[in-house]
Amino acid sequence: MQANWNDSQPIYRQLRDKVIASILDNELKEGDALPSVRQVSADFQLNPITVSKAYQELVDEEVVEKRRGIGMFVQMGAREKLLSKERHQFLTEEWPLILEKIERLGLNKSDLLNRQSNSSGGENS
Amino acid sequence: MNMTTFKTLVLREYWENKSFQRAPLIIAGVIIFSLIIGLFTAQTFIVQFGETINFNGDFSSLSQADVSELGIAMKGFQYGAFLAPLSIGLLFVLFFYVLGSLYNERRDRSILFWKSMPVSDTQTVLSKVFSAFFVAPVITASVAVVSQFVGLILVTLMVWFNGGSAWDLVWANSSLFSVIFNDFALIIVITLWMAPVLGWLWLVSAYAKRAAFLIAVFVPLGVMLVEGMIFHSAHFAQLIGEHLAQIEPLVESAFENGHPFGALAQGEMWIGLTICALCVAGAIYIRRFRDDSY
Amino acid sequence: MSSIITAEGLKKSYGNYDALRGVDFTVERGRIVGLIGPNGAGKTTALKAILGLTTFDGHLDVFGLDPRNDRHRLMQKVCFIADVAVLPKWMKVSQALDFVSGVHPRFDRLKAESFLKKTKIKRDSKVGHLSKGMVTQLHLALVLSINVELLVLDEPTLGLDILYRKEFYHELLSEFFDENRSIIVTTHQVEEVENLLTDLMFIKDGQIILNSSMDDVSQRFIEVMVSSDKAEAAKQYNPIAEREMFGRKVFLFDGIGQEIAESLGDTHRPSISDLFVAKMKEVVA
Repeated sequence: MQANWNDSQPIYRQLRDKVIASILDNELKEGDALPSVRQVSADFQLNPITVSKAYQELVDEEVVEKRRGIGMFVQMGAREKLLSKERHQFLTEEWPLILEKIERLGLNKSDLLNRQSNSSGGENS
Repeated sequence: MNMTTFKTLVLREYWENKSFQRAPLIIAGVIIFSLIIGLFTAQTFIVQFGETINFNGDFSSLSQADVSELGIAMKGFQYGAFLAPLSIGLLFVLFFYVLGSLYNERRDRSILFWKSMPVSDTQTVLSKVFSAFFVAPVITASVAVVSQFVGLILVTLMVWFNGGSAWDLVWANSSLFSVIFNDFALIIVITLWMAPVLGWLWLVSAYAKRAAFLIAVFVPLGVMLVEGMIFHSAHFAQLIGEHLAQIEPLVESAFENGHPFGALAQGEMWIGLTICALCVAGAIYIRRFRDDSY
Repeated sequence: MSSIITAEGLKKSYGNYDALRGVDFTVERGRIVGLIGPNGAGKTTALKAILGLTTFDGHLDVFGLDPRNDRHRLMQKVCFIADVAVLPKWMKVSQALDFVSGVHPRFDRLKAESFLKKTKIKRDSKVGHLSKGMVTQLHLALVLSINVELLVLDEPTLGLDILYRKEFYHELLSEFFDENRSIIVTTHQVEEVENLLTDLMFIKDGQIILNSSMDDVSQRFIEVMVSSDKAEAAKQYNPIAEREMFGRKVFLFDGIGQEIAESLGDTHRPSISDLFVAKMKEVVA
């Protein structure tokens, strides 16, 4: 499996982010099993310690739980938890920056929103 | 020594060296083929081994003296027509087998596979020694027994063809069991007699970086040359020559006595075996600590 | 002793040439160690010493055994692939299976057969008739089915095309490696193994010039892309390497810490190849 790891972050962090992204996108659903450490390490050609570290962080964040002898499973309520965390992050850090940029470019907020809903009017499902 | 391991190692030698079987089978095949041609195209029945018996077509009237001579001839026939060439074939097979046994694996680097297995150098070399002194000779002797049998059948056919009684003429005097016994015993004793030569070949095989054949042949020749030039003597050459020359009397005595074990009483045999043992020990040592093939 | 391998003052000379000049290192269980160095640096010599294929001076302990005396006992717990071209060419696949079954007490024949089923290798084929990639698959099938505690791989993927190389490491990680076993691998394709190593050893001119876990490496070594105004300030921190990219200078630092690094510019993890090149250029005291 090809994965393009960037060099700005430790790989275990990037792996953790991948899992989180899968959960948010609903590819990994609550109660689903994560692939085994061995499987992931073989598929991505990473050492198992790196994979374990990523999984451990997910356990610490209570996104994933370890069931003895069975494996790692996405916790119930994980998606909600992640979603609210991401929303908080967006609202407190990213959104203000976007607003700043909108101001800086001299654009009008309501115009932007109208433009968006017009162009995606017939496409939303 | 773990027996399963040793058995597997010997089996590996057998798999790798098809010549153990092929050479005797090919030689026996050629002999039988020419025998077929010879027996049925000529009315003359010529036996090697110093006995020549001519029969001009009619077997039905033979004197008693003729019949006993025939017995000797049958024995001689089996040895001469089959055992002798097969033994020579075996010696050639052994020469190249032993010379290559510790050399080829370094040249093609397969030694790096053998050494990755939990098998000691001692076990490995001893499995090759066993193959040389026992496996190859036994295979050759077995081929000898079968082909001698075929040879006797062919002679039987020829005798029938010419109106004689095969049992009296051929089988009763063939000393079949003695010959079969001697096939195995004699071949093994001859191989043991050649032990010092094989020992030398094992040393060269373990040591030579390249051109093992040239070293094996030209170093002894070189020694002879040097001895001749410096000491004006030929002791080394004589030593080797005399040792090899003993084979013929050895065979004759087996012929006479029904067994070759007289050779085991000779001191020269044991000196030869000791030299071989020392060479093998040297070869094991070299294979253990050699470092430059990779 | 939890260490699988302990080397102290390990030395080897060939006549006047010092291949190894008294090196110290340990290898623990459950690690994947990359031994990286240029040709002639001493990595093959170090491996040969560990595997009992050469004599040496100094102290070397592998599973509590001295490799010089006990190579064949050591081979019960250790296996190596020195080069994938070393399987005997005359041997048939079935004979290879029979052979290893007969001499190796820890060989699981059924496991090897199941590996081979996944390939196109036929049981009656001779090794000499198989392609290089298939010989690798065969050798790997044999080795991965032996329950050893240490696997030593010396340039195992040399000359193989990419498909076989990827499969090699995949099988290694999924079928062999666990917390009780260790792997030592040397390779020139550093990028290939970069992410699967747990420990890194650089060797140059018979000496070990870097020996640390990948965790420590990622803490210690930081690459910083510095804007031109900070370049002079950056130089004060004694970067171990310097290069240019799109007009900006990229410095590699050893041990300055994440905070200082971030104050100088954009930080990145250096690739092992860049780290290797930098350490090679350093003058060893």
